[in-house]
Amino acid sequence: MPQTTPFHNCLKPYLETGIWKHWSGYLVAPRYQYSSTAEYYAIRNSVSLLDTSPLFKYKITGSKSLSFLQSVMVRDIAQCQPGEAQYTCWCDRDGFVLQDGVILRISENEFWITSAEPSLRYFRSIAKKLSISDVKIDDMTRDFGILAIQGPHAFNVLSQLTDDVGDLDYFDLVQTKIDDCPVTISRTGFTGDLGYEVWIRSDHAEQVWHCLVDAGKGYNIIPIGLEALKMARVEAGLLLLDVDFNSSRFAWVDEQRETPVELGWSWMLRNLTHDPREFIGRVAIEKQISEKSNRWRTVGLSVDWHDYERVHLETGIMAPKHDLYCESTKSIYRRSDKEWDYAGYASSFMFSPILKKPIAIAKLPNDLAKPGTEVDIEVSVIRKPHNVLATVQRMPFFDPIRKTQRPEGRIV
Amino acid sequence: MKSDTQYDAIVIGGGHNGLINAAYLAKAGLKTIVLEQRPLVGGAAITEELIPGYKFTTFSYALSLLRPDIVQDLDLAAHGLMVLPMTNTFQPGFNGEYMLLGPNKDANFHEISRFSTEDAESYRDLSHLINRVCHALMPLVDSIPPNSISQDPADLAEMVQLNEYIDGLPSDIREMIQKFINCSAAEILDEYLESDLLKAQIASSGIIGTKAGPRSKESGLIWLFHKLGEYDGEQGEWGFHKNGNGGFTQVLARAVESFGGTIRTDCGAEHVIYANGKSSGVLLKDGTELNGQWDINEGTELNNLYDSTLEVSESEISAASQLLVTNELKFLKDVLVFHGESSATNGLCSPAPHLGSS
Repeated sequence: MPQTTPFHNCLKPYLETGIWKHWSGYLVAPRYQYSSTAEYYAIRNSVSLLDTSPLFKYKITGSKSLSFLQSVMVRDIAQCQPGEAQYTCWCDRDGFVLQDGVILRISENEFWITSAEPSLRYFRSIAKKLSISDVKIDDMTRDFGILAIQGPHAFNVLSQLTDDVGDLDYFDLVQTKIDDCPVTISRTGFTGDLGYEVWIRSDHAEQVWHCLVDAGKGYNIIPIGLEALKMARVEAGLLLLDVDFNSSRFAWVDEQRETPVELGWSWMLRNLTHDPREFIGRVAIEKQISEKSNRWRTVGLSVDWHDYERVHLETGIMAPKHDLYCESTKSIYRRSDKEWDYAGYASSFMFSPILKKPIAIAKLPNDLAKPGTEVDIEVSVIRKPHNVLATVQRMPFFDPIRKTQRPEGRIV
Repeated sequence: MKSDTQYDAIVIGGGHNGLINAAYLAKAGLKTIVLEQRPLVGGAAITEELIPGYKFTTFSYALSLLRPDIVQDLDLAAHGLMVLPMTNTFQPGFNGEYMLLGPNKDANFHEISRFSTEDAESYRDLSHLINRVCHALMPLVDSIPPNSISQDPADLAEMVQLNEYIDGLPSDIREMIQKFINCSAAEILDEYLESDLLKAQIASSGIIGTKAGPRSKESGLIWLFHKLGEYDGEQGEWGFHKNGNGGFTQVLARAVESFGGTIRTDCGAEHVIYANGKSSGVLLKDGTELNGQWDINEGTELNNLYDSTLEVSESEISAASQLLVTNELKFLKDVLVFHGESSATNGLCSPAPHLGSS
């Protein structure tokens, strides 16, 4: 039997489609309404609630918790003060990424981590291997539900329930109460919009849910499914495990593995020269940087919509755009005299409802990875391959100011 | 009494191996006959009505080591092949406790988590590692194992090649192969898991079809042997044939006959007739002499098939059948064990066991 999240009973009445799918063995909705795009617009236009409870959640405590995380994580968590969060990744010894996740620094020696795949045994085995004794890693996955409240009105909704949210800058967090229930609110999310993630003790989940829904009534708050979230995350340039990259842990060959540089996460390594930590994979990562031996880079692709329409219209059909989100690989070719000169692939491809053009997340060799470089992306039109012009673009594709700006008063 | 019919090939014993051999021989154009002393073919893979109205699959009861080549070469689908997936495994515990694992990795995670969250995670790591071991060994499974005790330069060269292949594998895979050869299933499982129930569930792969226990030295190798089996690429998974494994050997019998082969049941062989260093036929238990003209020294592939039928006694055939012995086991025994012995200085456990007979 599939598991259910602490919000399951609250979400069930919204499920117009009758379709549940599984996420880490929990029932979640791909969409509640028939239109994913309508739900997507709750993220970009009003406010949305997404149940992300299936994420694995770990608590790291003890006097050596900081040095443990410094040894494991690619980014230095010491740069985070208590009350701040950090998006990071962790690698194996060869510098290949195992996972990404967000770390909340709750206090000096208490950290909470979310991860897409189970990591309890991994973290514990690393602590043992590194002989870090005073660190305790606990599984809190079932103790908490997490609601992502995302969208331009997210602040307007949450600020009705707690004053503490007003002081939260991007990636800040606060422990406070909603309706007397203790909650932890971080200004984080996977949508690239203004938004918060609320950790709620499982036994308070329904109570807090009703508070949020009530507070959101004037703002058209709705629960959204994973498809809407995924559309928003591509626009935000956020990579998804098992879609845009695989965990090195379950890969068969290095071709399936990727380093932070290859994933376009060089920004995580910016301060490496002033950072004396010996985190797992550092040697391999530094070698790759100094030798420029990364095999590819992960870049954004802006697909030429004229060309995209043309290949469809010339074939006699309308170009599909609405509700178009695709995780199957699309081949990318070098624009040269040679026909079908394979260069790389797109791992995510979608029609951006707000940018009104197709966009993609792609893996390209270094010489094609510079913004402005033109490539061909293969699109299937009536079951035949056609090439469409696309241009390398820096991600995020869509980056509203409200994502990082401190909200002042009520946002209209 | 001499039978007038002249056969090119006489296969003694209509077990699954005998039937497959006969089907290949018949397909190759040889006039082939299968001699089965029981009233039905199948050997250890039989399904019989022991109680009126109830059919029992008496010995071998699941399929996982059947190579796809055989299915295709003998067109088994056309003869009724119907292997249904075994989707769940159930491990009872004490006081009504149990573990039920199935085909979904996330559902399995939650099921194992009821006993140990770390085990739920470790199970994935262990499964992936074993899958990689199987993947590394797979190319060798369909090949004829080199003769590990021969001093012939050609055989020695093949052994060197094989050792080089194994030495070239990633270190974690080599270590795991060593563990399978040298350690019991229980020893390996203790290293990865803490839940006794989960260990018991997995350890069954290390004892099934044998008289070994999970702490017997050979149980590691038996476990690997079962993992090398697969159901449509799912390593270590089993299938159940429609109408039992007897249903499967009936499919094989139909294949033999479709290629023009003859199957004679209630027809035991007394002994092979040798003359001038060559076998010339078979004396049946009823006194009839069957003439067969074969030359087991020619044709490597056929030779291999002949060997497995002709050069073992009947008791060995039945012992072998119980283990569903195929190329895999030959491979394990002849190759891995040799490799294990050659590098036994690593001081793990004792050298690898002798596994059944083949």
